[in-house]
Amino acid sequence: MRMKRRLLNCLMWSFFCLALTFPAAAQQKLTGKVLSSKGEPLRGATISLKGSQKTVATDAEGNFSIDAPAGSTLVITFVGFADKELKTGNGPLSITLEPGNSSLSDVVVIGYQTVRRKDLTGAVDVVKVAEAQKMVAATVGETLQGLATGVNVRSSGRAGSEAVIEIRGNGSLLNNNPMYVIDGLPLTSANRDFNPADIESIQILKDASAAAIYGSRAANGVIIITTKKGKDGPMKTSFSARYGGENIKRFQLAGTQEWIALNKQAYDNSGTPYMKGVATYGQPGNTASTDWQSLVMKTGHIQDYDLGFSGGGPNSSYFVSGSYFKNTGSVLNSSFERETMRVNTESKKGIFKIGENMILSNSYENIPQGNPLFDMLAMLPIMSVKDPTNLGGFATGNNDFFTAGENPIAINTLFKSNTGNIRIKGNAFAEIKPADWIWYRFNVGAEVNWSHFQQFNIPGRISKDVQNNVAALIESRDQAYDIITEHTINFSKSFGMHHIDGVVGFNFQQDHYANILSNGTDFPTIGSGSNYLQVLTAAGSTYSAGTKTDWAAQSFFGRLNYNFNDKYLLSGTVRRESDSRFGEGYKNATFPAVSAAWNISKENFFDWRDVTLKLRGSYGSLGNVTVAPWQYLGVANSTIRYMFSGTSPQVGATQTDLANANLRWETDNTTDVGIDGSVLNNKLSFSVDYFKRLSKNVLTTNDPLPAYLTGNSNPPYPAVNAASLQNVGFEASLTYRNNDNPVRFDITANVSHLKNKLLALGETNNTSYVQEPLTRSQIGRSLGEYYLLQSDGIFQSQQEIDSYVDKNGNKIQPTAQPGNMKFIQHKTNGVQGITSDDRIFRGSPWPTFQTGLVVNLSYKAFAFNMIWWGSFGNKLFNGSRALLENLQGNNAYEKGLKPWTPQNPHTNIPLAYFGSGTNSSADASLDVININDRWLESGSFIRLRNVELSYTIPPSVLHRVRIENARFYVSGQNLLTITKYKGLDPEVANADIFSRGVDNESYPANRMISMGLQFGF
Amino acid sequence: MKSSPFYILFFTALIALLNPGCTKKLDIANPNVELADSLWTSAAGANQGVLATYQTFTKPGFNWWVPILKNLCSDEGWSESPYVQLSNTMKFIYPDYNFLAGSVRGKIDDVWGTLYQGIYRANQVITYVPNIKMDDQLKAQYIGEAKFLRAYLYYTLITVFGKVPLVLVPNDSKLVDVNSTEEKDWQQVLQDLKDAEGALPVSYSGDDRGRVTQGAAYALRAKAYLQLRDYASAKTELDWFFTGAGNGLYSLVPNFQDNFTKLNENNSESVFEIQYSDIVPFNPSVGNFQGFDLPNQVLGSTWANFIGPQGVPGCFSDARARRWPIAEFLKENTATGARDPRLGISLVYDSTDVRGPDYTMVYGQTWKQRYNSTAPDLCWFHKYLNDYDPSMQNAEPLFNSPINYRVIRYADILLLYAECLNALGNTAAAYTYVDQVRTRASVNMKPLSVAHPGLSQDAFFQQLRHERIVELMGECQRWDDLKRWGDLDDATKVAALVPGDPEFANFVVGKTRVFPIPQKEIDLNPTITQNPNW
Repeated sequence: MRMKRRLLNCLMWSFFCLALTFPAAAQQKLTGKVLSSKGEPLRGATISLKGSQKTVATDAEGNFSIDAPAGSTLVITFVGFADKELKTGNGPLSITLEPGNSSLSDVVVIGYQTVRRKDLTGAVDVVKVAEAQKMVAATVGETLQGLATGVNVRSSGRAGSEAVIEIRGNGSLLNNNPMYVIDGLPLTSANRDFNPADIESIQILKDASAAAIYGSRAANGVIIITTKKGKDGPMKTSFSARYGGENIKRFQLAGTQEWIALNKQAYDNSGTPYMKGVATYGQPGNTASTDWQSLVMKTGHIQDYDLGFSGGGPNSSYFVSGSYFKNTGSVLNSSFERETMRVNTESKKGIFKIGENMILSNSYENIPQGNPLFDMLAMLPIMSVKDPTNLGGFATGNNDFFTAGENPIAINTLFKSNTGNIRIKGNAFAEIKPADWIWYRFNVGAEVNWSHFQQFNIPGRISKDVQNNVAALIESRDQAYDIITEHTINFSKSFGMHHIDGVVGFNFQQDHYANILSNGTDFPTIGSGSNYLQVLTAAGSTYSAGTKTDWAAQSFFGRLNYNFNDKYLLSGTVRRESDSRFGEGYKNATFPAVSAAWNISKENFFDWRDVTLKLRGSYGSLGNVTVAPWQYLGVANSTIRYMFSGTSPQVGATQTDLANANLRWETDNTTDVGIDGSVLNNKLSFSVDYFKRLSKNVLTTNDPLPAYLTGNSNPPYPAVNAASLQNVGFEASLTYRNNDNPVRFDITANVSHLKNKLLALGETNNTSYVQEPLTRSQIGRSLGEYYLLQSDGIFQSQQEIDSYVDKNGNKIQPTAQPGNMKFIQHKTNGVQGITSDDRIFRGSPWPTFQTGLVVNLSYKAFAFNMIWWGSFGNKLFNGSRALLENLQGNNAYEKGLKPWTPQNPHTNIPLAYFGSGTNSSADASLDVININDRWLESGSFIRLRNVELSYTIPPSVLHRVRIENARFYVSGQNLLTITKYKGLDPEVANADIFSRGVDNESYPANRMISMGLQFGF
Repeated sequence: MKSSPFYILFFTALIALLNPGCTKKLDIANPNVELADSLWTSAAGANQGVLATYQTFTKPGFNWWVPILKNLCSDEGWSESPYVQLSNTMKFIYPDYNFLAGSVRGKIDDVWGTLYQGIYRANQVITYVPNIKMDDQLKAQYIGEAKFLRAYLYYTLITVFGKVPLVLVPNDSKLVDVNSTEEKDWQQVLQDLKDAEGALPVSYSGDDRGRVTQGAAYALRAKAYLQLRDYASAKTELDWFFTGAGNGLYSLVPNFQDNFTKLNENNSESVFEIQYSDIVPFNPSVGNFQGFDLPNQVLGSTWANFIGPQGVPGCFSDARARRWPIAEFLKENTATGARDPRLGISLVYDSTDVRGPDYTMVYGQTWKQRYNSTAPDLCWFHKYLNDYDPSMQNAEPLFNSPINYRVIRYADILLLYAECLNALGNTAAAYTYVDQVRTRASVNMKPLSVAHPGLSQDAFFQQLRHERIVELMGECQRWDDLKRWGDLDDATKVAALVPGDPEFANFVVGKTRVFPIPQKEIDLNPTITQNPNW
């Protein structure tokens, strides 16, 4: 503690010293013009005064003006051109830039500061926004797959759903979502209410030195998003439109006759009389043939329009945009719609600058009911969709057509559910810059959200086993706001070969959430039809509830960067945080980090002129808040009701669980070592990182307490900061670009390897794993490894069964019959037969490595772009196949299924054997029980994530119609996936951290073809 | 240096903004819930704590599982549920030592946890209410109720699991006697009930009817002594009903069926009755199932859905009744020569209507229509089904049965008193109590003193076994009866149960009289020893 405080003091002192020591130098106004080697003026080139944070941009004619002392150095950078440095003289400057690569001079936002990319000491990924924006996606997250190293994105294809993003593995058991910082403000997230087209830049902070300035919530990495700003010049208008169609892959399912044959085979083998629906199929009234899959899946249509205006003068700028996005969804009853409007402005006068960024959005989602992708497989093809004898008019399973599934058409017709969201997110700031080397900024940000969920159920029956639903309306309204106030002072100063810059600041954040939920039942109909009144006041009975949460956090933070002659770079960060969500003694925490870099190529002994090489290293500590407010206090649960002889329930209250007063921050200690470099005069650049992320005090709700204490014998248990996780990995990326030939191209490849390991799980010594139905997360292994019975083929004969004995000569599967699966007995406790004790670890859901490849090719006006993504070495549990190959129950079957018969011995599909209850066979159950490894498959795949071909209309043509630029393109998303996985999509997004590789009919990514156009005038 | 004052001003302003005041904003009170500490400061809070303890009975771990275990483990019932672990458990095949701690379906199946949940709630009342400043009599009543409920929950735990950890104080794991003995557990039950006897009122009025009474405490204490085979002490407790303060408080209701419907609840025969209600409708759209501690949670029981006859919509038919008791009912006719009317009320089988399968109605269809079979194994428990109500004939039970559980009926007290008197050698005096049960208006059997006068002590005991079957079948009594009578401690006696209930072939003397302590609990606390031979 004392050390940390000293560090903070140090920072403050150094700042004071700086403030008092250096007088301001004499200023001089310099003007100039920046041209390309072909003599064209370059608009938007950046001119910065070396050793300060002062930068200006060129206008449309390439002109600029800057205050600079005589004899100082200007650095001129422009995307696609080599950087240039020159000493200022007296007269106007004419600067010519040569084509080349300048990525190392790009300015990178690292949190309250910007630095040149080549000055980075931490692990920061800069996402090429142009590539991200080629993807059709409702959220920013989905667009990042393949474009950033060590960032894994698993998207769900449901319209409006948000992707699961993991940066450098899982360091928490409860929350692995990265932190988002949008226009400098750490607010909730760039969720689906955010318009990805507004983005100017995306940076991903991956290690502690980069993220420690954000302290308590940065453990899962930070995604920094900056939105577009206007530039000096007359108003520019940009317009883009895109239209596309999407669908998802389909299963090959057995048709009616094939289904009946398979079903009969299964019933025959178990000696069960056919169910009536099968026995009498073909007779009048029983001839239905339903392709449930076709009824559930559909072609979705996507529209995406964006209109932007930007411009400004020397002292102010504006950017205004509006957008509309609609995805009609590729599954029944699923769709998403969004409208956004953004206004970003900035003005300055003298030493003052003010500005704001704000987005207003409105979104609407229809939410499919049940899981249509599961339900369609639970229905029988011989069932009809409708049955007028059921309330609501839909067929459900019954004794003649036995299925326990829910009719997906019924549930999605009778139940309608949607969410609307209105969100305002933005910030306003005022900046005072009394001198070149110091400026103060006051920033206020807010995010306000109103959401409205509504579900209306029309009376009816949806399944055999669930009672008729009554007319019901469920409405929930949420209001949330989060307000941040921030004061920061930045400084930047060079003296001789030394350069120091940094920031100190203070931040206060208040978060409020309130919800009111109400539901009502028994609505009267309107007239004689089945139209129902749909307001709660009409309900026969109603119920309402509400909740409110508030929390607040404050922090002091600072960063100091020291640069000696661009050769040695040193950076230190500290953040001191206080948070109301923790109990006494745990409210405060400090998150420090240090990092250093060595530009070897600047050393005199380094002879290769077109080679750059930099070594980086960092170590630091980050936090993760996973507790809800007030969780540390024991509460009286007053939602209990009971009554004796009265006529209405009375309120009961009691403590229902133990409270843990010692809840605290989860802490990540991260080490990162990296090398950045380039050869061939920057044509080939690379970056390699090794990291070790050790997460301690990880909150777990899986640390059991004896049930006799409170009666709770199942998770979640009271939360304790008792688990520990480790993620170790390496990441590498390589870019080659060639702009010398008429065919210009660049290729970027990245690869990452990650090893996730659970180090500790609970305070109780006897807790060594978390068991889920299919997986076991055990200390010393990765989260969510499969723990299953090991199969060993199919018994071909009775003799084989009889001779399959344990070491005591007892038959291992005495009741098996030929055609049943053989399982390996692994247990050593002497219990006979195959039981759940025979499960062993059968594979990991974590890929050994993942890789992305981005290829950009252009020739004259044509451009071609591809993004590939590959993931290798993991296993997935195919839950769909567990249904489609399950002949013990009644559900859809896969087409061409050939189960074992004496005549068909060479198959991996065991004996078809229908049965439950009295007809059940223990070994037939083992064949289909979800604890065997039969449905475990390789999850490796390579996917063509995106491919785009575009044509840019030559300016000479456009000038006549007063259009500045125009581009047409056609693109395809997820068109090609090379995989052995038999499910719909190997990119499984199971949000349950302990079952990450279990594909329970999760929504697959859509295949999409779209075309679009972009105009600027 | 001319701008230095400017910077200094800057910093002063900044530091002023940073330091003071802000930490206060980090103290935010929770507006949603009451803190546990503040609940136990008022009479109203005490009452809420007591209500929450009673609420344990609305959880399926109690209202589904306890009747399943007590009825089906005995030779009265069995299961052919496709839920194989359930049916195996009832057959004494129990490979998974965690099954009754909710290993398969989570909390819903959690017998062990639910019973301890109730104990945790009772312990809070017993520990914290004494410090509340409130009316002394009411305070004594609340503590008495909690002690009764804790005793009843332990009674249930002991009869299912044998020796169980003794937890008497909430929120302190150090004070748990994890290796308590069955004897110590029983002593605690007796002590709690002694305290409850002294604190509880004999009756309640108005909306409070249904809270536990002094009579319930005497009755349960007697039943506890009986499980310990201490007939003398049991008799002393039961004397309260006949020669003590409780004399005249209870009487049999004329209509036997009134004990199993919602038409006449908390009647004169009810000594301890658990309250259920369908005032909160079950709504699958909202998912307000039992046991989730939600304000709109249904307050009914699930028992009916699980015992209901096969094929009736909404019934799972996990529980079946054995058919041997039918013969017990048919042993004797009524004074007017009719079939014992209790048979049709106790069992659903092909002749629930004395005229046979063509007339026996099973939820809107005759037996013949519904099953077209007189297969010898079809038979279900009938008590607590809602088909007594003609409007329910075509309706599905909605997991929300409003029918109260009559845990201790006065008829049971009469038979137990007779059992005590007989066991203590006073057989002649015992007759009158059995006669009362037999001659209930709607039952109308001949008095035992007329039908079988002058029975020997042993013969009278055998007659009592019969009387308990025909009066109490399907009321969770038989398992305790068999234990008390020593039928489960002797291989010969166990073998005698096998013809009626073949599952007893799997019964192991010295082992299966109790279930194993859930393995989870032993894993977490290895000092707990497992029950013998498990």
